[in-house]
Amino acid sequence: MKTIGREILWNLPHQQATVVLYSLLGVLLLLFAWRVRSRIGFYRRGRPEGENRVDRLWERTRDLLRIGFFQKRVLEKKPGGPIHLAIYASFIALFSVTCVVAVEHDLGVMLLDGDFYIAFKLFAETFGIVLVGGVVAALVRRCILRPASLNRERGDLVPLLLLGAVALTGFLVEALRIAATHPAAAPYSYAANAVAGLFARVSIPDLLRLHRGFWWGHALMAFGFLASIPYGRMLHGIAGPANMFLRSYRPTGTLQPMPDFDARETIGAGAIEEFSWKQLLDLDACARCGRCEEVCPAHATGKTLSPQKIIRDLRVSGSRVANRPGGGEEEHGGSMIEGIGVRTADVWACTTCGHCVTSCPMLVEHVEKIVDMRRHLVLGKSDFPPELELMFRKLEVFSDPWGFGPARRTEWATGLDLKEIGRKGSVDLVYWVGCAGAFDERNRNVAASLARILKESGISFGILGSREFCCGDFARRTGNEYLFRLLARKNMAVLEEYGVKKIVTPCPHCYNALRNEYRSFGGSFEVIHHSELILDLMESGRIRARNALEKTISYHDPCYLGRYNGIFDPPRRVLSKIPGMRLAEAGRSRENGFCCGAGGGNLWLPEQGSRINEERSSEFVDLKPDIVATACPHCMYMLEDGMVSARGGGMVPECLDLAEIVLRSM
Amino acid sequence: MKIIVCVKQVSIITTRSGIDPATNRLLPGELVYTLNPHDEVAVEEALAIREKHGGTVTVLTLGPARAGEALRWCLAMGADEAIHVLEEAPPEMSPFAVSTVLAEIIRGLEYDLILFGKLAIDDEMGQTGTFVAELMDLPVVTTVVRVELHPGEGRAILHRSLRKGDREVAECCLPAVFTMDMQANRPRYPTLGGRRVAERREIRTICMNKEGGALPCRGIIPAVEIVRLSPPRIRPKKILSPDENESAAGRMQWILSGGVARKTGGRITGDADRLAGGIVEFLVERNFISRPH
Repeated sequence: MKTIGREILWNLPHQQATVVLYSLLGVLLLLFAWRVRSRIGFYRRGRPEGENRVDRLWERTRDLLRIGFFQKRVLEKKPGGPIHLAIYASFIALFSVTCVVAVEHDLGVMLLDGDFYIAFKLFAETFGIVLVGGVVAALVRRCILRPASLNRERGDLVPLLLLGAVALTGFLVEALRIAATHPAAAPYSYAANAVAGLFARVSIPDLLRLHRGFWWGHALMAFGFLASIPYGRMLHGIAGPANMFLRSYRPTGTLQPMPDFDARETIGAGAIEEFSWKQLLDLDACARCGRCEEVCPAHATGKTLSPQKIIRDLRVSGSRVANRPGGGEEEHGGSMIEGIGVRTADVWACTTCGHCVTSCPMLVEHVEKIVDMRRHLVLGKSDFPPELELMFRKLEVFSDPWGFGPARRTEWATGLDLKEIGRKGSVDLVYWVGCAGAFDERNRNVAASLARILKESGISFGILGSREFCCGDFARRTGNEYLFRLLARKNMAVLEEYGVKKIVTPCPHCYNALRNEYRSFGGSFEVIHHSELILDLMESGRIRARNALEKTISYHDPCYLGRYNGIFDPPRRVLSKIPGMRLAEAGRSRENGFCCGAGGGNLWLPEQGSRINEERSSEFVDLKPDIVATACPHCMYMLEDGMVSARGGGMVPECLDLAEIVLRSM
Repeated sequence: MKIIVCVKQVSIITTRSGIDPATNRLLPGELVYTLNPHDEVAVEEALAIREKHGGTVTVLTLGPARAGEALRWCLAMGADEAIHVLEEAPPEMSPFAVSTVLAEIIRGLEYDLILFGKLAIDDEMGQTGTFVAELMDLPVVTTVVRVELHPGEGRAILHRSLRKGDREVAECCLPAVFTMDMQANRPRYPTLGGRRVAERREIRTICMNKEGGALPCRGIIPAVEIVRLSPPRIRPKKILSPDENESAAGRMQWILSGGVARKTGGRITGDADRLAGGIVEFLVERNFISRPH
């Protein structure tokens, strides 16, 4: 006999209850298996993946625990994070509680006795309250506060209400039992104990009847909730962890290599089956939380693009047996990609800043899907904005997107007496200028500043001159994979001919392409950004920032440097080494930096809504630093232009590149 | 409809330095190359005609090895066949010489229609299409902006764009030569599938043999010799403004007249024959040319 324990299935017909419960369990497992199988069938309709998703198993398990089990990304935002944690943790806790009960009942292991039982009761009770609290908070947030980006679909409330009902009936059942039997352990079930007082006047037979009724209700709703998991929004509970386990270990933003590209006749995604199986899994893993939409710079400036909506559109078109009607024009206006129901205007509005990808708690990869759709539009249907066509044609003929031509690549360096690399091994470091530094009026000064710094430092470096061609990043991001490879091959031929081992570049797009994406063409050189090199030179004393600049500086994190490649500190440390410098951080900085708007080809595309660069520049104008520091030529002109028309008027900060600032101080 | 499109790979000057003193030509390092935009429009027109009336599109070029890339672009757009007449130094060939070769090649092919771009953007001669038509005794309509074919009746209606928005509409019997104006259409950008086709398709190469062999090349010795090539002098732009010393009425008149002096000298009016005759007479009288026989 138990000292302080409890009789399991008290007041219930043991045999029948056990049979019914396990039958329900059996049905549940069948439903689960059937549904999961059907989802896997859907994923398999997709094409193969371009990277290995099941290597490094230990790292994957560790990350699954960190991000999934311990909810690392979920907790980045409040109040949604803690609310979810409350519900999720309680669910796991109470599920384990039920399992413990089952272990005792079916396997005969005497657990629920003595001190363990007391701890068990406190544990279950507390988590029951946390669950109720979480559900209430979630309902308040969803139905009363209604944050704009929270995706609200039919049936959303079902799992929430079910969970809440399960929790409440659980307490009720306990309270009824306590009211009927007054067990010794009652005070440990503190909440139920308090409620039990309400039933003081109810007769015992009535209590028993009520108890039985609510117990079955509780059991059925619990099974109902479990059965609902593989459907609708709750599917993220299973597909999410799978998605996290199968995550990409490429640097953020690096697109998948396509080793078989040269054999391919078609490319990109114009239909659901043309996405990869992992991309299809993403669609189920999405929890419809809307964080991607919250952080999207296009969405924030009035464009219809929403990463969340794209995932939803793809999910909807995947679930239709027949293709959705209305390929071509739709009532809302604007052309669509037939067969997947995504508006082409949305596809082009993306700046590939990657904030959606880094914010997603389920590790959904939105950007690559958008690039795949662009590939379909550009290389498959030849249907894309004319502004891009102009850029493509110039790239192919002149090897730069503005049509200057290779012979003019050294105009910026006139008078600087720089070494042009002529043969293998003649220099230690290649200074890769980039098209913007070479041709854009404003950025030529940045290129020259960096060259001066390098000369001052005494390191052996050279430029490629007319043998440097566009890295091709913009071509790739706008879907013209063919043109990207054309340029990459031209560049690789030169880099290999000169046996290049180390490259420094002031442009994060070139940095990202050379460092991360040229690998698949055999690129094995070391690539550093000029902020890293300047920091190194300062720390080793090869250059000295002597002159004080009594200024307040705010640094703007370029997307391709910060979010993509994790380089947040070196530029800031460079600035902090300048005497007299005061650093002011913008509200949206580092991993939460706001895009300047040039990425993903949007430098060339017309813009709807308000302007992304003005939105970002306004943030700096309001902050009122003397200088806004950048580390990217595209951010440079976007911010400068944005300052002109930003709200605030009066004095606007000066936009300077890190190299220009350091040079002033030397 | 069997359509032949003659295309040229043109050079684009990217910098204004570097003239080779030996040949009086621009140094190749300063040049980039591309398919002549007007020719691309002609190819697009041919493809549109093929889509409407069926048939084949053959592209033909005369140029060095690198001109093959221009042909590949046409194939990627959708052309069926490509013929490359390999000639290493085409700038030394006059348009008439080029036309002679092209005409010879085309005579060996089947054709219902021959298209050219109206001019090449590097030398801007604009003569090749007309010469080919003349050599082949075919009608030619130049600077066409719209083609309406009636292949069953063996004729076509052409639109040409004149000044001030006027259109000239001409009717022409087939086969004929048309030179296309860039306003005619917007050429398509090749798809990946098109690029793959272009990579794989074999281009028929015909080698020119200057030593007097394979093709009759009357006029291959340049009729025009470039004596000197130099970068343009920077001319300060003259901004005309009314003379302050003039009276108000005088200044008004100046502005209303457009600020240009009236042309002095004779004027010739009439149809093309009369105009040509008048110009020849003018040049002969002033000893610029000797009287033609």
